[in-house]
Amino acid sequence: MNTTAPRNTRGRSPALAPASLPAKILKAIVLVVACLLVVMPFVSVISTSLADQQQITETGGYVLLPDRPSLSAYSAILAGGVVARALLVSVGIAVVGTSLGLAVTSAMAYSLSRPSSFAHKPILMLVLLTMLFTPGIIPNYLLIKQLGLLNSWWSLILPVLVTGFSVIVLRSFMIGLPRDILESARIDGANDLQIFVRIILPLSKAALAVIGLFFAVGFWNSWFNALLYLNDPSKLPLPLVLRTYVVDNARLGAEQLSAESGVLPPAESLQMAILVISLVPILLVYPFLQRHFTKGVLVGAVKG
Amino acid sequence: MSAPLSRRTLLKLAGGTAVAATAGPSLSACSSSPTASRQQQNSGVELPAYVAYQGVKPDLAPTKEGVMSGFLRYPASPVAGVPDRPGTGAEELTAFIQQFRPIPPPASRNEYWRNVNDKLGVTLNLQMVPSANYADKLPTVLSGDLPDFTMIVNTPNLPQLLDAKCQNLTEFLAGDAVKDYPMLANLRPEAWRTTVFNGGIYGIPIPRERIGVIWFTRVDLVRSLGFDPAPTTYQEFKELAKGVTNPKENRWAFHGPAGVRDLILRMMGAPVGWQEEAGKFTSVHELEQTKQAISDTRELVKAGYFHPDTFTDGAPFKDWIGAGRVVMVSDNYSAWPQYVMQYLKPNSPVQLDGMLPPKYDAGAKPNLARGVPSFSTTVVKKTGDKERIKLMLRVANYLAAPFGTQEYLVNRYGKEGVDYTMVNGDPILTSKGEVEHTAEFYRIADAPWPLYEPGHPEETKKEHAYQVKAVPMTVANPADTLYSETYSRKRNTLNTLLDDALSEVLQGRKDVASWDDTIQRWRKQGGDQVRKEYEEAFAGSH
Repeated sequence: MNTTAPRNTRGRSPALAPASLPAKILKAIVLVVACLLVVMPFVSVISTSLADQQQITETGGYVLLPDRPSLSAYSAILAGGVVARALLVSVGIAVVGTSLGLAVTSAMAYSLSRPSSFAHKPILMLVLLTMLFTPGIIPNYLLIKQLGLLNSWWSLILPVLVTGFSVIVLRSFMIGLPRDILESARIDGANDLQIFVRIILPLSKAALAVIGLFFAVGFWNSWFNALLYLNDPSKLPLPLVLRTYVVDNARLGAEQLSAESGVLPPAESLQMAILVISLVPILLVYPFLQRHFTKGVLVGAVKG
Repeated sequence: MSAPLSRRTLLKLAGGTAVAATAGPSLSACSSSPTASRQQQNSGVELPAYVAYQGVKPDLAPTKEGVMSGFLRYPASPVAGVPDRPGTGAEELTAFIQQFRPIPPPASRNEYWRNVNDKLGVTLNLQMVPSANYADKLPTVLSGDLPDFTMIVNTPNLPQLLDAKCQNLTEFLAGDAVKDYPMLANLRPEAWRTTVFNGGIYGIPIPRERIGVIWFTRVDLVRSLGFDPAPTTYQEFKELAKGVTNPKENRWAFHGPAGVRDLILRMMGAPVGWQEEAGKFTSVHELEQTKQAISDTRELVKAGYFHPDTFTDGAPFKDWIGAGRVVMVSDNYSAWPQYVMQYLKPNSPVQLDGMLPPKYDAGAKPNLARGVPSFSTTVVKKTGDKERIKLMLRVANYLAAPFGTQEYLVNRYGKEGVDYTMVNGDPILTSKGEVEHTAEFYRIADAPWPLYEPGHPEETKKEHAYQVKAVPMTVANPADTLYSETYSRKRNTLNTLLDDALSEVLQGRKDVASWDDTIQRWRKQGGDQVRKEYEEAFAGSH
């Protein structure tokens, strides 16, 4: 085989040459190991969330296959409806925030991408400035307070509705769209809004998917603003509620635990169940966006 | 009622946050002398009179030294400790508290919460912040109208904050005035001492007991291996450690080298935290005894008596002791009920008991670290409305009703038949109660802790017997009732410096002599300033 290999690859790039059997096996092993490295932590997270205390202690905290699987961690977390409500709140914030964020960001990016638009350079400069200087916690808080947004879900959405990064990425993408199409649309009588809605947005789907994912993940994980701005326990989003499960269980006294139902599920199971609950929605959304995502991450990669 | 803070005042108050990282030094420099002069006024403050509540008779008597009241069961006919409803039903109060457990369902879907509101005659709104993020949220709370009750823990610029935004409660609580609130009069003076600032009483303490960090031992394992779980000398202690360690069986003597260092200090009878002599303060870390204890602990680490993962942050030692991976751990006394609940099941071989520190040498007088007198302080929003202040104190009085009263059942367990049921004389939470009662009203005001292990009266007796021996040995940290601005700011930095250096020495990366350099750095980075502030505060309150 070795003697034939050079003949077969003549004139071809070595990368395209058919691999020998040992090389194939080696590649397979490397790929399997790489896959396992990615998959095993997920398996461990799910398994640990289902395991009991004894097994967790025996395995040093990372279970690969639960011996006596139990959903006690999940039922403890979901009991009382607090987490379910917080889940709804988080979904709501993510959906509303992402939709509004995309609408505002794409509109701004489009107007900044047209060289003829009014004062686009100073405005672009202002957008860039926000990436260099971020206000501190207290000024932000005072602003939210004076806008009357305290204890409102809008306080989680409005302050991060437009980010400099998203505007710049989307603008670079829109600049790259062929100008001829826009000009022909204008000749056909389309106004700016029509061009934006009918031509720019459909052509920018890949970039919008990427920015949308950034928005969605950001809103989904947002907890610090919620910590600062929300006081009503029924308004808290999921990350903040779940956080209270992992903070400090050490102070539980006996009178605070029910002898009837035994004890709380193991802390590790609770933590892993929390990870699963907070990861699943994003994992569900990701496959639908993935094909745009690979295209979209290249946005601006060559053009700068 | 109070005027909104200006940005400048707010920046001062928010000293613990990132804002203070830049503005801190100049602000604290401006504020140190007024703080010192305010602290001078504290010695004249009359503390609330202490009148122990006699309405409930415990099964195991408390002692003057501070052994807790023991209860084998919940009293069969609980007394009404607070006959009058604090509010009329129309009032509304808000409390900002740290949340140590999962967020409860809101009052609209929480019968336990509504029942407390109903009994109080007040609608209590809770603003709950996860305990780990308290310091992040507090500055924002302080920047607006303060809630009626605010839980204060380790807060920088506290005297200024209290002055600007909180109610001086002296006229309502000092001396005999507290007798209007008998459940608050049931709190010991040492707890009240922690609420004295600027020459006044500025809050309600959340009391803690005199028993503090203790050593838990798996006595069943120790005995089965043929050893005595109560060594009387350091030599016996080392033999015990050697005898129970067997890596082949996945069993080691200890977890937590810092805890063992402290235990050795207790064996020596070293001071707790700070040594105070004629108003002069010396940190225990500066004493030769600490170096000796570190050197001894290092030998124990070298000998392999510690669990191999003992230096890992957040090691699950509570699981390890339950599973017999380690035989001895240091933990707060409050963990005892948790261990009972977790490990004392039918047919479980696990038996835990507290260990008293043996004598380090013939001349040593072993001691134990006394628990801090108060966990936090609940401050009340400044208002000119005396009736409202009295209402808030009546609510606090209700929430501080001790174990054995009807009010305690309402505050801690909820509604009978809904949140709990009585089983063999013990209130046992239902699954609904378990979810609902994580609304922690006892962060606003709390009763002294009872000794009570529902369903395990024999454990209550064991704990009481332990306390009878242990509590008289406890020694208080003189700094527990004093305030240091620098320590409240630099607590983490200073403690991390010492902890990291200790860990390096114990793991053999540095020698014991390097501890002297560590102490020099500690002094420069704030240790000396903390000492100075404690000495000033001590002079002001004695």
